[in-house]
Amino acid sequence: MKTGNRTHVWNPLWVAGLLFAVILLLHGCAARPPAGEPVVGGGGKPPVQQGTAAGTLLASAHQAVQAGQFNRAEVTLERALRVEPRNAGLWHEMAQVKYGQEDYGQAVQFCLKANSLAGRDSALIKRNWLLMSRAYAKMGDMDKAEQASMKAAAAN
Amino acid sequence: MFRKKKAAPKKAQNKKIKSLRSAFTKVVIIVLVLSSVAFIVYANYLNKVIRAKFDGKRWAIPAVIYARPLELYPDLAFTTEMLEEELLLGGYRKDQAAKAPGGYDRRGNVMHLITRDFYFSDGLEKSAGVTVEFAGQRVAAITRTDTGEHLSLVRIDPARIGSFHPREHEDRILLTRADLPDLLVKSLIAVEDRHYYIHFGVDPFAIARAMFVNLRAGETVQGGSTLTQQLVKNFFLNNRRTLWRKINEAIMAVLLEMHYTKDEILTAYANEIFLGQDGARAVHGFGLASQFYFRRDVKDLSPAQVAMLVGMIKGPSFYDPRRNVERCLKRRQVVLDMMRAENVITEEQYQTAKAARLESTDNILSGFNRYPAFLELVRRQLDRDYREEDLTGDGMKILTTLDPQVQMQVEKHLSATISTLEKRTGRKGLEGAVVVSSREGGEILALAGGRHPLKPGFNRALDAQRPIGSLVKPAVYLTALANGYTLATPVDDVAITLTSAGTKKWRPANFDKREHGRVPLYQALAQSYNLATIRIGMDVGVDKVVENVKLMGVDRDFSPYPSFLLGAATMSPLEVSQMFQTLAAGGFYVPQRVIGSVLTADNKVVKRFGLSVEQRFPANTIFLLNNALKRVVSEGTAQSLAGYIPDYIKVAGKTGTSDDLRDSWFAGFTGDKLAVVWIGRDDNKPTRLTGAGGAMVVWGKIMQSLPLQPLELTEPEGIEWARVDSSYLRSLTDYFGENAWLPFIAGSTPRQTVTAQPASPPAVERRQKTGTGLWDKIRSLFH
Repeated sequence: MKTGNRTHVWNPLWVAGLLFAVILLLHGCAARPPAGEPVVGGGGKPPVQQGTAAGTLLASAHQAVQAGQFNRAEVTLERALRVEPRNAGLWHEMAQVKYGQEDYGQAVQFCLKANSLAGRDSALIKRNWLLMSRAYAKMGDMDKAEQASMKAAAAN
Repeated sequence: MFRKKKAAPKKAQNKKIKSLRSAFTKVVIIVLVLSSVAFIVYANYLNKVIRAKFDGKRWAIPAVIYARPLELYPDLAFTTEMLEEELLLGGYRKDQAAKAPGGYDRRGNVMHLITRDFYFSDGLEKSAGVTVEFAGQRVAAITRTDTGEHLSLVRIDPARIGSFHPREHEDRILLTRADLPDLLVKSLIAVEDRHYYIHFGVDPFAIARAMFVNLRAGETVQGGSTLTQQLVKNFFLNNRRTLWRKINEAIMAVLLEMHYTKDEILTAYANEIFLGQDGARAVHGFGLASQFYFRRDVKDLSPAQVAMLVGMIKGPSFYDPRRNVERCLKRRQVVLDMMRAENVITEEQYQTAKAARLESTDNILSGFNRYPAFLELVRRQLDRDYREEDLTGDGMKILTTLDPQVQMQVEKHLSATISTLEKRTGRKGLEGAVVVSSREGGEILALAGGRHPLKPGFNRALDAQRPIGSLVKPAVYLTALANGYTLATPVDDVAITLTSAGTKKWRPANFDKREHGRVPLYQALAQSYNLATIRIGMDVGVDKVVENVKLMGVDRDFSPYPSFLLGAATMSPLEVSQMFQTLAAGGFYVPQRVIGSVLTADNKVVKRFGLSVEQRFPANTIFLLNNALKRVVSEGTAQSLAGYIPDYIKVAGKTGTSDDLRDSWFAGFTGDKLAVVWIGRDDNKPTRLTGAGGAMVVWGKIMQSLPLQPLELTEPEGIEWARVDSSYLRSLTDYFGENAWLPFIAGSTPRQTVTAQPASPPAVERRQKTGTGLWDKIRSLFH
């Protein structure tokens, strides 16, 4: 019964989460830097690879999110971050979990952290600003929400 | 008459006797009634004592502290030796073919092991049989031992590193009745109390037999105590051999039997019995004893092992297998004889057990509270969130961030390097402290509070408040970079006299007592020039620098005196570590953590200390500062670090020395770890060591022996790189520096520079392939 309630409460988030997952998947295919080109300034690490330790943990975190178990997702993502502490994509995932936990302040902070490690990964930067915009809106800070969504639009 | 005379007194006497008798009877009755009442009251009191202890928490089960779990995955920099060390620390045993959970079998570079069930805050990690292959100091592959299926990672149950038990130094692993194997129960009854299931708490036959045997021998050779009596004795009474205690023991034993079932009493006994001493820790109960002596769960004990433990009940120190091997073995054989006589074991089992050698004492699992300095920090963090009774009450599990690999290296190199430094400087009495944390997550991986890791006492990492010297300079330069300065801004390193109302004039000087004229800002930091720093700090304002130190994570009030700019303020190594954590994490404040989560005895998460971040400084300012801190190592005061850390790793750091060489500091970070080292004396006398000559050597040796990730600084948006031609300084000063590639916040690049292609960092800034680390070469020397 409990889960039933949860699903009801989380329904819009859930859909949004799925959308994000889809975007992430699409992004994962597109954003890998062409072979041979050096990754500039250490930023823009390749997205989390399937089958790696971090990839396995990320998949498990996604499962937890889909089951509405944000706390479990958080712990799992922390493990993934211990393996790849400077993977901007994982920090973004953490921001999403924080959003799911209704900890919007931390959602923003994790997005900022993800941006600081994103290098030239403009798609990820865009997603970070979009999420920040929603988090600010949840906190009732419409000015910042607006600014963030403008930054999202500018990140291309 | 005479008769009468005689009779009269006789009559009177009789009367007297009669009245005496009746008085006596009355007294006796009164005494009897009173003593019965007293007895009833007393028994009732004892009854209450028993029920209170038995129905409530029977034992104050200490909270158990665990290290971080080891997570292995392909390509992780790790060796077979390191894994074996970890497994042994975690109480694993070497087992041919790794048959049961907690066993491992090493074949060259291949390790077979079976992990044990463990509840983490994200749920149960089930026991798994895995095979880990190593190649070239890395994990090459992990497979399931049974199916050969490849695994992307495996999480090994963590090592117990300590327990909190403030009042009594006891420890135990609590067992339920179902946990007690038949073999153990039957052996226990055969040896200690044959009529256990029949008697009512006291065994008159056993007492009679013991009395007979003892009388014949003329001394106490046999006890007639039942298990219930023994439990009562251990549980409620002191150890004195008095009649009164014996009586109490008997009454309480009977009362106990009235209230509780045989199974309940037996289980309590199995958990309470004292079975040895491990330093300051008393080993109680069969659960802990089988881990302690055999690294096994009690259900996995062999008949010979059961016999040894049961035999030890008679005198855990007298029959201690570590000290009295022969005596212990002899006693075990006697117990085995009794087990056979009572048909607890078959003839075949008996023969095998009798022939079995006594367990090697090398196997004994010591190492509890082996990291007292770290545990102290754990305890303080818990004290903020819990009352002590809550912590010690019901066997909580505290999962910490301690990385045993890092801790071992920290302890080893701190102590060895201090000894070397003492020889070199001819000064005894040096002490030190180290804090190592993960760069992005702020997890404390290791901590040393002094050069003798096992010696409890003054924890310098937490409690030594020392002047931080030049370690404050990054805060000064950060403030400058946020207030209009660039890395190339010319600053004057020339004498300055400071006066402020009511204080003496202050004339700070450089370490080399010279002036260096006009230098670019980055150079002033790299060379740790005091005069330039004072000028910069006075220009931007000491209060702003103080404010930034707070933002970096040391949230205390410091007086904004000019001397603050040269590090007159005192901090503990841990505080310094938190301050540098904010730089290492790219301007994000990450509260340092030692505890991941706290679980109850039945594995419910009561508290999580999750990762949190808060941006305190703009990414671009931090990027400039961290680039300058790299130059401290590549060309500044920490240049000699190159002797320890290979060039491709890159380190950003800062040396620190206080007045008269009293404190030697180094704080620095690589791609994955931040470490702060302090060396000094407890009496605050000079050490004759600079930051680079003391603390940095310890830092280098520790980091050199660990797998390291190269330092990457992610370039944020809006940075442009420029080759700064120092000729623009030349006209103003005698400075002849080389050209330098420097990052600038877009728009702030000085005109006197040759601007590079936008956003094209120099080649050295690029990510480099990890080569063969020096650490593993060094490590291999020790194996």
